[in-house]
Parts: sequence; structure tokens; C-alpha cells
Amino acid sequence: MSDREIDQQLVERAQRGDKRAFDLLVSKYQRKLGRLLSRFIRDPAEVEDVAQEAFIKAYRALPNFRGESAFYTWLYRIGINTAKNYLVAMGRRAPTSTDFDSEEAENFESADGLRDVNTPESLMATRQIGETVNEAMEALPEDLKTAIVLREIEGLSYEDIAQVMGCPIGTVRSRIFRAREAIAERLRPLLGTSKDQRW
Amino acid sequence: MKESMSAWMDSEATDQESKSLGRTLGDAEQREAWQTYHLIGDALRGDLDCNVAGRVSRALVDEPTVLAPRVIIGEQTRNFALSAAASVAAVAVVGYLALQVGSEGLEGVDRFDVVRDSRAVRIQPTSPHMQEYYALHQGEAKNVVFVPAPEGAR
Repeated sequence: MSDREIDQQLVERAQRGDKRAFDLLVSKYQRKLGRLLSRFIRDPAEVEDVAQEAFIKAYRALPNFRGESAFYTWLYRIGINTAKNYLVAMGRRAPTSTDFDSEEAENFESADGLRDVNTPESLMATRQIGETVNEAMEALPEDLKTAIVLREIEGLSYEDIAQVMGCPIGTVRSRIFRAREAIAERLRPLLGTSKDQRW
Repeated sequence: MKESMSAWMDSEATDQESKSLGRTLGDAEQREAWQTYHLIGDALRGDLDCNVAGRVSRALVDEPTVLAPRVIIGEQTRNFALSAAASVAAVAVVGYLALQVGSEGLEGVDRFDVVRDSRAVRIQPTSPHMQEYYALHQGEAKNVVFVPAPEGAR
């Protein structure tokens, strides 16, 4: 099942009234959408406001989503339109159609250079999460670390990772899972502290 | 099961696992795994700045639940064709049985026939009493053609 098919499955569940399925799509795409929006909204707090509004708009528009494009491409368009409206309402320049195009939705670069403002609270939470993940990565056995890096950073398929590491696909699958669980184990105390601070 | 979830989010789960996970996504442990694994991936890519899942989830509580019909064009067309065929078959069976009954002329039951090409029904009452009844209601039954009761009808 492809990534798009997984999203479609979640969309169909949400269309049948399962709000939790939509929550999973939000968990998956919130940071990707935030990264997109931060290309033209500098304040991280505003980025989050616009991202939230875009997700709510997407939820309301779910009955119109027919699966003709990937869910993220569709969400991307809603995000761009929401950001344009927001910038116009704030009296700022809205991005033109040439600033972004739909193909970028799947593959845009990080916009770290555009961001230089962060609230102390969000910065601390973000920093804690990042540090914990890095520490957990350092503590991983080399084969687990390599497997998850090839998957999450390089974006390789299990088959490609198996070739690189010279092991069966089943082993790759197991290593990636064990790596995730080892990191998750260290993160859980941080993530479970507040209901309002869901990651 | 969490290993299946890990593989599923990488699009590497088996078909059976995908179906199973699709059915049981309400499981709190799986949902937690999904959220945490995605967070780990984003953290490894240095991408942690936007965190609105909790806010969106709370906002959705106040949103009316969307209920959209599942639209799959090919399946819809096939279903329509099948239901149309079933309807035609049902009409044929009922029509055949009705004609059989009509031709036998059951006692006390008014005979009726479908008038070809006019979308009308012809009724032959079995008694003067019913003939009078039909005549009184002719205005409400424009597609009904009445035939006089046969001689000797009570």
C-alpha cells in the first residue's frame, strides 16, 4: 500500500465520520505544512494559526475531496489559499501563483533561513524533543541507526536499504521498528506530560 | 502490531497488515505509535516547529461530523447496472405472475391488464358495486381504463 493509498484510507474513514482518522493525518502533515507556510509567514506563532485554520478548512471540505490528487497536494492548496487570505487580511503581500506551484507540494526544501523568531516555550519544547531524539540516536546500535537514517533522512525503500546493508528486507523492517521504539521510549516521558501539548 | 504500524507508515506493510491496521486505527496504542513515529521522523529531518495537532483535535470536537458518500466511479456504475438489472428481473417476474393470475380469472378478484404503449392499466370489475366505485374515482386514476363488468356479475 503506497503512502497515497494510506492517506486515502484515512481520508475515507474521516469522510465516514471518524474524526480520529483526520487527527492522524494532522499528526502526519502538521510539520510539513508548517514548513511550507513558514516560507512566507515569518512568525512561528502565526504559522501555527494559519496551519490550524488550513486543517479545519480541509476537514470541512472533506466531502469535496474525491481522491483525484494526493491528500497532501490538496491540503497544500488549501494551506496556500489560507495563507494568502491571512496575509491580505493583515495588509501584507500575499504570495503570487508563481511563488509556489502544486508540484512543490511533495518536495519543497526546508525554509530554516526564513525563521528567526520563536516563543521561549515552543523553543524549549522543540529543543527538548530534538535533543532527546539525538541522544537516543547516539545510543542506538550501529545497524539500527543506519537503517533508520537511510529510511527517514535518505527516504530509501526497505528493498534499497536491504541492498545497502546487505541483509534481508525482513531484517530492515525489524531494525527500523526497533530503532523507532528505542527512540520513542525516551520521548514518551516528554510527550505524555500535557494533554494540550500533543505532538 | 506496532511493527506492522511502523512498516505501514513506510508503505511497506503487507496487504493483510494494511487491511487489519485500517480497521483498528481506533486503538490508542497504535495511534500513539503513529504520532510518535512521525514525530521521530520529523525530528531526524530537523523539522519540529509546527505543532498544531492538539489544537486541531480540540477544534474538531466542535465541528459537525462530516459524512460524505464514498464515490468510486467504476464501482458506482457497476452497482447501478446490477441494481437496474435486478429491478428489471423483479418487474418481469411480478408481471409474469400477475398475467398468469389474471388469465385464470380468480373469483372475486378484479381482472387487470397493462395496456401496451399507453402506460395505463385496464380494470374489469367483478361486480356492479366495484364498477360504481371505480367510476367515482376515475378522476384520481387517469391511467386506469375501466371495462364494464361482465354479464351476470353480482
